Amino acid sequence: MAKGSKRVGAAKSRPSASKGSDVVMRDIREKAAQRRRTGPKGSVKIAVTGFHSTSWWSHDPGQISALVEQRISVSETGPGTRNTNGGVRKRKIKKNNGSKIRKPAISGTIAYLTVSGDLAPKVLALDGLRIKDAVLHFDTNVREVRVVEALRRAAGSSGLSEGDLKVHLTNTLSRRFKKEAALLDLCGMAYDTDLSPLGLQFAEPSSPLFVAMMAICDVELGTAMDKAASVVHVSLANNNIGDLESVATLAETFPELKSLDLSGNPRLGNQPKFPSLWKREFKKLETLVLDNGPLLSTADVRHIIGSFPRLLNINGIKIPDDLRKKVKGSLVVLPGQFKDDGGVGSQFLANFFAGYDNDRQGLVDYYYDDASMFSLVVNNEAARVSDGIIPKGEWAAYIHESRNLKKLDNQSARLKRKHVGKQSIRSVFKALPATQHPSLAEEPGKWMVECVIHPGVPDPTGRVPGGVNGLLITTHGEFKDDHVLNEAHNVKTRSFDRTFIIGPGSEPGSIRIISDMLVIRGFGGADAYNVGIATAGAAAPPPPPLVVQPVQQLTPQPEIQQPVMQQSDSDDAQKQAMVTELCRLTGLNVGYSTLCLQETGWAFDAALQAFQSAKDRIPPEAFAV
Amino acid sequence: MANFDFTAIAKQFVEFYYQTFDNGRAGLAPLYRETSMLTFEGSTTQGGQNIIEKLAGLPFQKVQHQVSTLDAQPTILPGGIAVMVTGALLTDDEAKPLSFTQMFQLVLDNGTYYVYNDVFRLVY
Repeated sequence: MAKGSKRVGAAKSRPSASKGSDVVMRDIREKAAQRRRTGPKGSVKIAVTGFHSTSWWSHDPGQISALVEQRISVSETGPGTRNTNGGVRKRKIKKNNGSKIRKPAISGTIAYLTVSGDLAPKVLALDGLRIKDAVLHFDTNVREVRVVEALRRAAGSSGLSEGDLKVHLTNTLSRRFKKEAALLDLCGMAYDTDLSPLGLQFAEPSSPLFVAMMAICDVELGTAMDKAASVVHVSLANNNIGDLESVATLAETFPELKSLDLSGNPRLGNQPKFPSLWKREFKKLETLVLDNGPLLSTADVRHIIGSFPRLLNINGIKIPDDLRKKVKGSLVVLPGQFKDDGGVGSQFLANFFAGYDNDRQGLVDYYYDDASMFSLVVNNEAARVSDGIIPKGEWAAYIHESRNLKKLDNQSARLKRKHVGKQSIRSVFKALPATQHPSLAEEPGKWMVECVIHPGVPDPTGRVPGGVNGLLITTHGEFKDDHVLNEAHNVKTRSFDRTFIIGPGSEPGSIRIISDMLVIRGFGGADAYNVGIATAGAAAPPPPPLVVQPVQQLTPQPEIQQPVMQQSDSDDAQKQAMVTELCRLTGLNVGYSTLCLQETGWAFDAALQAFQSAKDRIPPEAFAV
Repeated sequence: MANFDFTAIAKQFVEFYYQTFDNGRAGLAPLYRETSMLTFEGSTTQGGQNIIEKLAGLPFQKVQHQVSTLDAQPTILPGGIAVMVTGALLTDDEAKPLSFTQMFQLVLDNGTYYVYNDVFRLVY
């Protein structure tokens, strides 16, 4: 209740709070109307009505914009210059006004057109336009139009006059609005005796009642700021809502909501269609209550937080931090997959970057041969952490070697920038600025390295004619370089992505690089892949074990063997992550979570189902830590 | 196989791949085979059908890829090509694009290319 009481305090400090609630409502209404007139800068939203249920209307939103365009054009060019070619007329509009009128958004019986400020008076002048049996009305008082339309539709079905219906609904809403709790409690509304005489369904897609109620809230509660202060929580519980579509306008009226209760609507199921309906409309929603039914699976939770970026709780269960953190945009980021082959990959990486920083010529001799390939690309478009001033020529040390096939069409340049063999690679390495990469072992959080098996690389010893397994290693990280800019030495941190294909060398036990592809871009930080560093207590898989060897002590590597897919490390890590997630979602302790997962063959959703169906029989010690 | 124009193939592949991905990712099915492996943000999926299901289940409806760089090298496999792409993608109504790196290993089989390895990472 801390929040609730804080809100009461805030409300009291408002000068109008001492007046009666009707007066408050009126004040807010006036303020809202005032703000409405100014509108967002540059563009004006216009509500169009009068087209619905006429023989003119073909249910194509483009029909309205086309008509408006045509009529404005006619009035501008005059009947004398009217061109019969519609296309020409359209182009004229575009030229004269700098913008074409886009298709309006249709909501019920209203179409919303957004036009530029200079075009608005011309569009509004079309008010009363008759075409066939339609009489179109154009109005900038979008909110009021919405109320009037919804009330007109609702009144039509209820048998009350529009005025009476408005009073009736306003009274009902006032009764349901708990000011102290900042709550609009529409719980059980579908069965409210206030509404039963109206003969209207509360929340059915075909019923205008919910839309009318939201429209009244919209006007009564005024501007976004006032609404945010007075209604923070909405309950739509126990209304037997079958389709969220019927309450979709909630997001237009209360975009600032912090909590929403949708429980007791069993027809919505466990995976209501949030993403298709509310795509991040509720930017501040922290608490969501769904049906009292079965627990949500991790997949469900991820699905839901995709729509509500600030969500903290679902059904009273805190969303695990790691689940939230791993959502970048709407994609789930997992730690690197490192399907190494006997440690060859991790050993290679440790050696390679130390060698690249300290002794590139020695590195070339050690890892490259006459068939090795190297190429580099500059990505100067990639997003950066800092948007500070980018000095001219920041890529000067690299750009002449950049082999971006998207841009580079010259065949000979393409060939020249693909370096094949020790000689060529040695000379390009020599020309590139000196670098310093963070240590993989000491600062694993600055890296994302992954490794998969690459089949069929040749065996230079000729023992396996069909080729052996090599490794495809992808690395992402950062480095500092020492480059000359404006005749002065500069140190700059940059990000890079580098991919290697490695295989056995001709000496027994040696490794060679078959392919080395490097992309350099502006510094983008490590946030995107820094998930291997777990929050305290979370059992995130550890970064791949890496052994650092001083570059001087380069020793022959263990031989790459025939197909070996050592999955055990990452499998264990995955299992551990599943156990942690199950613990967090169910409250089970580690032992019982593991048991549950083992019994369901490590199928996470099946384990969650099993927990759900057996939860009443689970002994208390399963929850004890 | 020394003279095949792998750069043109890589370029064509990348154009086709992202256009198809953005227009309906189920259309990528012909590019993967049973031996194909996708490593998407650290989660691995093997087999064409599983990969298409994995891609279809990604938590966004609309996506738009913008390729910034593309590089390719022939690998030793007959007709094999390693393709490295960096760029940005925009999902649904997200305002901020995300940077990605994607590595494809293309393999020639009976005159057509398919993706043997596909490693995807968001990098910013």
